[in-house]
Amino acid sequence: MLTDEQIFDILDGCADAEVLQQHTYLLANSGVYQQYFKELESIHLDLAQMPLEHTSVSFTENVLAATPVAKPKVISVKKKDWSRKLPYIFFGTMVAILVVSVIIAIFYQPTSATVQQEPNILIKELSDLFSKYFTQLGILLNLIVMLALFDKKILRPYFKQRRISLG
Amino acid sequence: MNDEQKDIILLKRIQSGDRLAYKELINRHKDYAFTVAFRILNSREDAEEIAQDAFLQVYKNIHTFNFEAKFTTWFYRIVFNAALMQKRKSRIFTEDIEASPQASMVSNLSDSSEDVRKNERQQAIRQAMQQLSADDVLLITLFYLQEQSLEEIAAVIKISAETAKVKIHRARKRLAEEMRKHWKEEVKSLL
Repeated sequence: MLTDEQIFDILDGCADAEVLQQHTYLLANSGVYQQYFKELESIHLDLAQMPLEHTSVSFTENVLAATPVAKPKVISVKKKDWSRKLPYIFFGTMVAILVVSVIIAIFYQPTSATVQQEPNILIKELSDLFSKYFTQLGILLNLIVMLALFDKKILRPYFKQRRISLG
Repeated sequence: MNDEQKDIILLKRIQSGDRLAYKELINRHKDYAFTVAFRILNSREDAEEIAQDAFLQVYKNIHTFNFEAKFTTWFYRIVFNAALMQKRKSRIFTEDIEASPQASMVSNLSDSSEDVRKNERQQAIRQAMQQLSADDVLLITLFYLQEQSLEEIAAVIKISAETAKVKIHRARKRLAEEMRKHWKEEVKSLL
């Protein structure tokens, strides 16, 4: 008599030649085997013939209706990108101002020899403009950037947290 | 282009936000997902809900899919886990109206005797399947749907192909025993 595993291998079409030979012999000579094989074979055939079940007609539409459409992730990522760049903009501006200041300082470096020169009106005007407005503007810009950072990093989180705890 | 490649293309399109690709993916796999869930739960209503949830989970976790495994292996695992949870949740026996003997008797009225016998046998198999574990039902269902290799079927429930083969053999044997019991009861009821 063959084992169940061997019989199922025959039904699945993956039994070796020796098992198949034994099966043919038993099928012709053993009534018990014949009956048992037929039983397993009918189960196998029934399972193989079981149809694929079908969903309701509105299945796809129902799934699509339940699927979220909006993608808020994209918006928040954009905002994050801009705010991430802010320190770089700040430091970039600071470095640019420093470089310009150093260049100007080198340009106006006093020499050891005192030479009386007629003051250049254009340079004098530029120097006045620089000392008056450019420095003031620079300080003002720095202040604005610092305030913006202070507001974003300290004030807003503080009030947001406070609002949550009050709520 | 084979089915696996088609799935990969669809998944990449879904990852880039293409809803038409998602619809196509649903239409490609809905009947298989539903069949697996239905064979485990034996309730059309529950099976449909589970299949829908499985597709929603796919959409939600689409960015975590890394294309290392076959999509169907990942997907059937989602369906199987959801069906298993549902089965544990609703331990009360719920019989599907369409699957009930009364309903099959009504539908059999218009069929030929051969169809009637076939329907009865399939009905008996569905009922016998309820006596098997969810693992066994899944293994048998996927094996006979012939959509996946034994290795892929085994990967769904994270066992080796050899173990899966043994489990399928045992499940079929158990099914045969259940069917024997069923027919004995049928004969008794006729007498």
